[in-house]
Amino acid sequence: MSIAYLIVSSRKLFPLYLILVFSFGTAWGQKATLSGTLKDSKSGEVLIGATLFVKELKTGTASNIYGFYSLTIPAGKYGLTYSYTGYQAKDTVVLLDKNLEINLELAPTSQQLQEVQVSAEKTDGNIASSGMSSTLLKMETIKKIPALMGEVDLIKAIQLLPGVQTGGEGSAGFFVRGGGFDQNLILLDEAPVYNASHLMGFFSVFNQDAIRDAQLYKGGIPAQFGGRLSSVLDVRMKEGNSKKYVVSAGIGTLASRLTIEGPIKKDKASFIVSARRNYADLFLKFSSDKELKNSILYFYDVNAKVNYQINDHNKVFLSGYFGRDKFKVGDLFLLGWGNATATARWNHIFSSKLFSNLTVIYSNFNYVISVPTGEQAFEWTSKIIDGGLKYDFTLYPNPKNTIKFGFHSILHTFKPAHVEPRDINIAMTEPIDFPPLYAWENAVYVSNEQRIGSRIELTYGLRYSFFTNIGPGARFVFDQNYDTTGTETYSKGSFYNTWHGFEPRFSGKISITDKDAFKASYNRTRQYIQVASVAANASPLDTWFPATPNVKPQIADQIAAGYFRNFKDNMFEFSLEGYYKWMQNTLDFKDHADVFLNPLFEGQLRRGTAKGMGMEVMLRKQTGKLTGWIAYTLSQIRKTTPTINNGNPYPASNDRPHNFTFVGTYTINSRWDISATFIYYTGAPLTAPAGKFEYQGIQVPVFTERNGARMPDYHRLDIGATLYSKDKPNRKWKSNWVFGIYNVYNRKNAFMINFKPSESDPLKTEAVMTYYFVIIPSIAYNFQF
Amino acid sequence: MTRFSKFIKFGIVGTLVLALLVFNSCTKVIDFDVSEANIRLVIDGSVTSELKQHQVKVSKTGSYFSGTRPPVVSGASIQVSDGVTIWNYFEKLDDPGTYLSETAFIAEQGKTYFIKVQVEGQEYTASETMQIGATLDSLDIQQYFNPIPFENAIDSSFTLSIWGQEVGGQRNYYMWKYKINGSFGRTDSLQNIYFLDDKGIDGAYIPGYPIYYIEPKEIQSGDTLALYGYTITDEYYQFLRSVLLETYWRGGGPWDGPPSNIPTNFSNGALGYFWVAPVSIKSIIIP
Repeated sequence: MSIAYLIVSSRKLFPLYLILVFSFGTAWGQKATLSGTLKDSKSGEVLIGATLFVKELKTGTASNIYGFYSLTIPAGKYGLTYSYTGYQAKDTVVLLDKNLEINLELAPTSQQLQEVQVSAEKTDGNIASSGMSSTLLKMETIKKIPALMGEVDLIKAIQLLPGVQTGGEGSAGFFVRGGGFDQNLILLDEAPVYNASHLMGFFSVFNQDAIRDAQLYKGGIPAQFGGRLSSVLDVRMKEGNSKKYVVSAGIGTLASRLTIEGPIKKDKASFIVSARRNYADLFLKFSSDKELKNSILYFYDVNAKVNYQINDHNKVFLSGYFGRDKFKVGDLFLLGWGNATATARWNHIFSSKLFSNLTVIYSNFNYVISVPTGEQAFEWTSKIIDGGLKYDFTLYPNPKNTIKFGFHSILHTFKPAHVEPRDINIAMTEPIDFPPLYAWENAVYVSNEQRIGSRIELTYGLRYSFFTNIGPGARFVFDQNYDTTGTETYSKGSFYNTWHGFEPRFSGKISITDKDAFKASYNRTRQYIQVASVAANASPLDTWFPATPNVKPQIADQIAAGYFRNFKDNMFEFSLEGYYKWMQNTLDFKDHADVFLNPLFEGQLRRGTAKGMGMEVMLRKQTGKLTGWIAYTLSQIRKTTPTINNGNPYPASNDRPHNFTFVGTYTINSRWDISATFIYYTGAPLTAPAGKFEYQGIQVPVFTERNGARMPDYHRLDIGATLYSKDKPNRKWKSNWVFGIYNVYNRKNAFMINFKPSESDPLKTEAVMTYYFVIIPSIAYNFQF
Repeated sequence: MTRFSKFIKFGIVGTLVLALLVFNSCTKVIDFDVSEANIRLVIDGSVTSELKQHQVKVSKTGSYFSGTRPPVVSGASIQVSDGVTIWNYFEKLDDPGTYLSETAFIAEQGKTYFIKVQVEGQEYTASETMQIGATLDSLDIQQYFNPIPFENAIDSSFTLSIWGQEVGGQRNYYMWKYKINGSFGRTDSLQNIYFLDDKGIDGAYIPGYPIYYIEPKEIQSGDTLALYGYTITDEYYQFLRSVLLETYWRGGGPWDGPPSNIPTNFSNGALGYFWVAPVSIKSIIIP
């Protein structure tokens, strides 16, 4: 067995080997394996988390993210039930005397548009598995949440979950359990997305028509994920309808969308192409303001995916994303940024018990700032490029164990800044160039999901990650006072520094009854690359930089425990979770850091620690006319960094002690849905002046405590309604109107508060609040044929 | 009205709202309760290579929202020395809180200067070493027409440009002020002072670099304009940056760094700075 070989060959994994041997027990005998792929009968999309239940054995399994399932049980005659929420269950009887492949298609129960289907999460998923601190959001659920300017946004929906804080009004940045915005691993079809924002950060890059669902892990992070401290947001694109051609489009207040999908070869190969463009700038032409008239402000993005089922054991996928933002003010200024990602995947079923997926990844994030003409003309570019490989295996030895193992390898190229003088720049005589940095990030992992009896499930795993800086490269050497004492250079191809370490992962559950579960988890995560930013929030100008001999990798440990209970035949899911988290080597910039094109910026970094804790309660209703959730989070995050706040602990900028959200959708009839969301959270912390002094004509503030004061509390109500076209048999054309009102009661929520001299009287100092979005109505029209 | 035209109307309104929001967010002045910090002494002093009676100002911190200037401090005893010579200071009768050296003197490059301020039974000290200065070769002033007429821009002004050799191989920091007919005018306030480091120009010959745009109302033909070019220390440069980062440079967007206290080189909890710099002065008659 390759798994046994892998484990035995690594002495460090020896204790785990014992566990695995123990857990296999005497599992090998007169057994046969039932495996296959589960799909939607209308679109041909695979079903994730659809269940197979063996009546006689009262055991079962669920399909993985590629729709594959495998179950090895004693030979015999069995009654099987395949089911998935929102789909008609299928019963069948099989004689299992040898390995059997059953590929099935389940039919959706509703004849309505796809949007009308209720959440398709596994009905009792909340208590059936040991996984915790994790939520699956289907795009159908997200589409019903009223959205800013009617632009359905995955990240804004994520921000409504307990334990997730927003970066501020309208921000597409998010913070999980006290972590930073750059501590979330955002994956789009396995490829990392380095900057998930559009339009100066107010919208996210995920197009509602191209995305199928997203899974957020806040804790108990499975061993196959790594590289970021706080969370994983695993976003999956649709595969494209393999039965028939479908064109869907939407016209919204902010942007319009067009998606075409269909079979290339029926049931064998399909494609989807989805494009979106916003058109703010088209209307700027009507502006009377000279500046606005010559301005450009838009974004567009394209998602494309092709898949081909070569045979029952091989399937390949190609998927890509390309998005770009452009913001230009006349000839004065230009700002552009964007991500490109591409993945090629090969699903191969080695045997009915061993599933594999090989992924080749490419990701590129870059931005450009330029002043195109004049005495100060320049062009500034910055980028990060990833190329990598992931090979993941899932082994299904028996119904009691599911073993996952694999390796990941990514080559990072960082080009932090290159500034080229243009035209007749007299302020700059030669380009400012930060030499590229190269690094190689690797990880191997193995984990086992083990069921003990019908009440206990344990998932334990180990990830080992290592990160190597590769030459050519140069670094500044700093002394204790962060002053540079010289440089070291490294030749091309040399491995000049390696950071590495284990990342143990564990989660377990024990059920007292069929309806409840106690769960606990521990995970350690390591992060080797991060964003250099003096601000606390994500911006389009994120510059990523690697761990180096000067910058240690960040490490987080988290323990979490919770109680989960389902009521009324799984109609309601209740969860209560508590966590404690401590982080090492967190990075902050020193006070008034000069990071602007500063080659010595590593000397401006200060290494600290952070401690966070919290409690999250959520009641979610998954079925019925009314669906949605109520969530409350009580949390705290404190950072301690030498030289900042005199070395005393201070609240991190994303510290929001109280956070309450309500998300509800009510289906009135087959034509009307109404929805509402309400959000309340404690105002963000800020540093307020406790006095002032005068220096050469300027009134200068004096502070006593970092983040010692608070902004006013944030709260907002949004409402929405969807009107569906009449459902007639044989009618191909389907459409809906989506109406929304953002910030219904017109609350002026503070985006930031600045303390500064008054413009009219420089002797006076005042607090100035900036706010963005007052009441905003929106309308969108979507259709499909 | 058809559904389509209704939609378009909505679209235009919505998008214009967005455009306006992105370009101009709304601001309002709010009341904010703050705690009061302990009162601290503030000292603003300097010595330069110019022969003159050098000046020190002493004041205290005040309440942030008081709407008045913080109080000045009288009766301080102030001494500056270069380790050998000691210069005593006296308080100006017509300008309480402002102190001048009893004699005029020149501070020299490479020497370290010490200041000692005694007031209300407490002693505050600071020191700084004078940098090797860059010398201005020449100045030029020319009428300048703004090629990009954006709103609030001054359509015409005068460009004050400098020529000179930048000192290579080390990080240098410069600050410029100008006097018109002997008065600092606009550049008396830090808000209008231009200072920069030598990023991107290290060791280069500066071929007519525009450092000030002077408004027509500031000058008349025949006026004497004197440009003062100071070579300041890294620490004082960081101090100036910090003061502006916490005041006029703040509020440019969500990308400001977290507010934090201005550094100082004074001991014993005093705020402010004692800076020492060589100065190169060039004059020009406005044509």
